[in-house]
Amino acid sequence: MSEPINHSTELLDDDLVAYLDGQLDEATARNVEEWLSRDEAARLRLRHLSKSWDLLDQLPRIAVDETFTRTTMAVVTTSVANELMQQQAAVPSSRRRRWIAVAASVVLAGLLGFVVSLLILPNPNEPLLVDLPVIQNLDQYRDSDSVEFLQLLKQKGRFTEEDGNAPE
Amino acid sequence: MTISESTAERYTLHDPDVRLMLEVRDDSATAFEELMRRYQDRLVTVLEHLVGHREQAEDLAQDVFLRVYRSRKSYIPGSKFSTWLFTIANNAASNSRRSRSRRKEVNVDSGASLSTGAFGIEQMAQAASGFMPARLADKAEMRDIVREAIATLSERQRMAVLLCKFESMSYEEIAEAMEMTPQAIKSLLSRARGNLREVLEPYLDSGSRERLQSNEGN
Repeated sequence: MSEPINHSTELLDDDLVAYLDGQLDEATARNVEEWLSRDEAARLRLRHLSKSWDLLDQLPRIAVDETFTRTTMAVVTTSVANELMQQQAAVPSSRRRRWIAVAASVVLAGLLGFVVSLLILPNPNEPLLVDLPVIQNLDQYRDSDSVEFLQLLKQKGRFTEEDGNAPE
Repeated sequence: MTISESTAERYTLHDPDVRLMLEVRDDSATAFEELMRRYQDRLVTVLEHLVGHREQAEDLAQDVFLRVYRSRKSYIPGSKFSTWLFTIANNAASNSRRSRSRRKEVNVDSGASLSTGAFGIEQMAQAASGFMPARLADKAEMRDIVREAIATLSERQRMAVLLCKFESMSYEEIAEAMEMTPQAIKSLLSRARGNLREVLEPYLDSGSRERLQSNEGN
């Protein structure tokens, strides 16, 4: 059981005020009462706290008039109406934004697909590019009439040359 | 903060204002008006003594009711309706105070009472120091004195005092409304009451209280 007499003034006031407000648990309230019964100064402090609290009853309670009620209802109604209008006005632009987003996604997906296909799928022009030196001089090779000669040219790497020089 | 179903059910069952607010959630304008009528005087009273200006208090109260209506769709009863309402009021008052500070306006906290009150802080200090002869204050003067005493408190102390005095809220409810712990509220109220006692002490004795009471009786 705590001894209120050892409390600091601040703690003492905390408990005295809470005691006046009926906010103490039973045991603490009993401690405070016990202490009050022994301490005249504490009783005086309690009396002053209580009286000064009672003086607050001098503060007027305000009664607003009908104008306040009507004005407040009007403020709320106007605000809600404005909010609704803003929401409705925002609908087309949000729909537009949604369409732009969809279109951008489609373009991006197409672009991505193209890049992937370039990387993965074989290029159909690749063999033509490889055979380009031969194609460029095809007429001259055709005139040679000798398979051995052509094989010799191939061994010398002549068909892979890009300068397009025909055999002498 | 998550509110359990049982908590919501408990408050719905015991607090008729919570039930009204649930009707507001379902877009009942009649329920909203009824709630407003029930709380407008109480709200303006607390706010008027908090900010010291009647007009500003009414503006704030309108803002609070607007916030209540706007947040209706997300309303879940996690406390008494009054506690929820004064939580909104406390936030609205704090925001208003911050914007006032930004605008560097001064004396708003005690402006109205300073302009109309017969007693200023200086006189009260004189009285407290014993230089002012103990005199019998009439009711209007006493009201001004109390207003000035309230104005000497910090805004948080004032809010806690007003919720305790005018709304008879428990420390736990005040703590919820002011987003503090009950222990912090206990200390806050203790300091506030200590300050009030110091400022009002000269008027507690010397018959002024008795005179006031006899005036009230007439």
